Amino acid sequence: MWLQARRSVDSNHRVEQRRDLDRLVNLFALTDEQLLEQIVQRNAEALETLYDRHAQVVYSLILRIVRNQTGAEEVLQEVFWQIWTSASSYRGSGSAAAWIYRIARNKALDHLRRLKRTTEGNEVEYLDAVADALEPVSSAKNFSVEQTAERNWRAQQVRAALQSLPDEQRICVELAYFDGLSQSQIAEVLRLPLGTVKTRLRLGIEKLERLLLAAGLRGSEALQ
Amino acid sequence: MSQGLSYDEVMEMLPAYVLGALEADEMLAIDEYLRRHRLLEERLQTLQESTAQIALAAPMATPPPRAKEALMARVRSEALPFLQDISAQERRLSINPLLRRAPGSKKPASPLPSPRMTIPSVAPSTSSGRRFQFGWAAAALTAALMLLAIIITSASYQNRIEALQQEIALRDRQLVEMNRQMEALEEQFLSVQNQLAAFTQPDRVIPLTGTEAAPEARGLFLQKQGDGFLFVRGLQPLPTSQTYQLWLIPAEGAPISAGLLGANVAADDGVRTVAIPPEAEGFAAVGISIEPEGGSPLPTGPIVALG
Repeated sequence: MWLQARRSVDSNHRVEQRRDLDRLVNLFALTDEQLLEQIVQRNAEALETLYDRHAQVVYSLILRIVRNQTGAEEVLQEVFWQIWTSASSYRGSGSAAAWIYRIARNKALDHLRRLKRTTEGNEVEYLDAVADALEPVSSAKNFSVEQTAERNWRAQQVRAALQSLPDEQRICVELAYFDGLSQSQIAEVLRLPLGTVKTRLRLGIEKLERLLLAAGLRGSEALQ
Repeated sequence: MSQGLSYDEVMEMLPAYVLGALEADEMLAIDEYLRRHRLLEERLQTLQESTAQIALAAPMATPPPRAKEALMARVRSEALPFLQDISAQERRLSINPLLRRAPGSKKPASPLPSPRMTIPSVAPSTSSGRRFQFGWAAAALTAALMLLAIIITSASYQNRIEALQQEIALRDRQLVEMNRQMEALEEQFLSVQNQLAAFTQPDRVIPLTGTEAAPEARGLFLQKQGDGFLFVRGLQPLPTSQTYQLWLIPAEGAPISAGLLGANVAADDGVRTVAIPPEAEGFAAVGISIEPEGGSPLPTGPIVALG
C-alpha cells in the first residue's frame, strides 16, 4: 500500500517536472510581447524568462548611468517590478525591448538625480563596479547561446556606430542619453553655444540611425 | 507654444525630445504638437527604437544572482494569493459533488482525491509488471514527443533565420540603392547650394546681349570662384550639324572655350553650370558663337551674344 502510494507520488512528481519543462519550453519560444501578455495574466515564470533575456543589458545600462553597483541592483529590481505590476501599460506601439530599456533608463536617471541631490557620483566606484560585474557574457537559462551571441554582436555594432560618430556629436549624445542632461545643461558643461549643442545632438542621432541601419540593425528587430 | 512650432522645427527637435533633452516647456510643446499631428507617430517610434539601441552600447555587466532571487521572491509572494485564489476556485469545483457529477446521477458522491492524486489514477492497477511497462512506454512517448518538439522548434528557428537573412540581404540592397540616391541628391544639393551662393553673392555679374546675328538673345553670366552660371534666352534652335559654344575672352590673347551649349539652348530654361578653366581666370568678356557640331578650338562662326 505504502509502495503504491510512493510510486504514485513519484509519478506525480515526474508529471509535474514534465509540465514545468513544457512550460519553460513554451515560454522560451514566446516573443517579448507575448511574455508581457503572460505577465499581465500574473505568470511569474514569464517574468523570469523576460528577466533572463534582458537583465544583462538592462543592468549594464543602469550601471552605466548610476555608476554604483548597489544602486544598480536596486534599480534593476525596480524596473522588473514595474514590468510585473504595469505590463498592461505596454501598448505595443514599439518593441517590448525598447519599452523595457526606456523604463530602465528613466528609473536609473531618477535614481541618479536623487543621488546627486545628496552626493556626487563617483567615477572610481563605477569603474570598480563594472570590473566586478564584467564577465564573459553567459547564456542564462532562458537565453540560448545563439541569442546571446547575436546580442553580443548587436552590442558591438551599436558601440562601433557610436564610436564612429564625430567626437563632438558622440559626446553630446552620450551626455544626453547616459547622463540625462538637457541640451542647455550640455551647453553649460561643454561651454558651447546652445545652438551648437542642438545641432550636434540632432546630427549625432540622425547619423547613428543611418549607421545602425547600414549595420542591418533596425530598431525593433535589433532589440528582439 | 506649440501653436508657433512648424513641422520642420518639430522634426529638428524630435531627436532631443526622444532623449528627454529638451527643456520642460519645449517637451510640453512637442507633446501637444504630436497629439495634434498623428502623422509624426511613425517618425517618433523609429527614433525611439533607434535611441533605445544605445542601451546596448553600455559596457556589458552581469547582474548578481541575488538581484534575481530577491525580485522573484517578491514576485512569487505577490503572485501566490492570486494563484491560491484560482486554486481555491478549482478545488471548490472539484470537491463539490453537485458541480462535478452530471445532473440526475444517483450514485452517492465519494470523497475525491486531491488534484495531485488524480493524475496516476488513470493508470491501470492490475499488476506492478504492467505498470512498469506502461511507465517505460510513457517515458519513451514523452521523450519522442520532446524530441519532435525540439526538431520542430529548431526547424522553425532555422526557417526564421533564413527568412531574416533574406530580408537582411534585401535591406542591404535597398540600402545600397538608397545610399546611391542619397549621394546623387547630395550632389544636386551641392550644385544648387553653389548656384544659390552665386546668385546671392556672385563675384561677378556679366549681362549678355544679342549681336546683329541674334538680336533677340539676352543672358546673364554669374561667376562665383571657379564656377560660372549662365542663363540665356532668345537663341534660335540650330541644325544638328551646329552647336552654340561659350567663350571666355581674356583682355589679351585668344578666347578660351568654356564648353558647348548644344543646338537648342532656348529649349533649356535651366541654368548652365560651367567650370571656368584656370587659364581663363580674370577673363574680360563672355561670348557665345555658332560652331560646327563638336565645337571648335577657336571661334569660327558668328558671335550671337556678348557681354
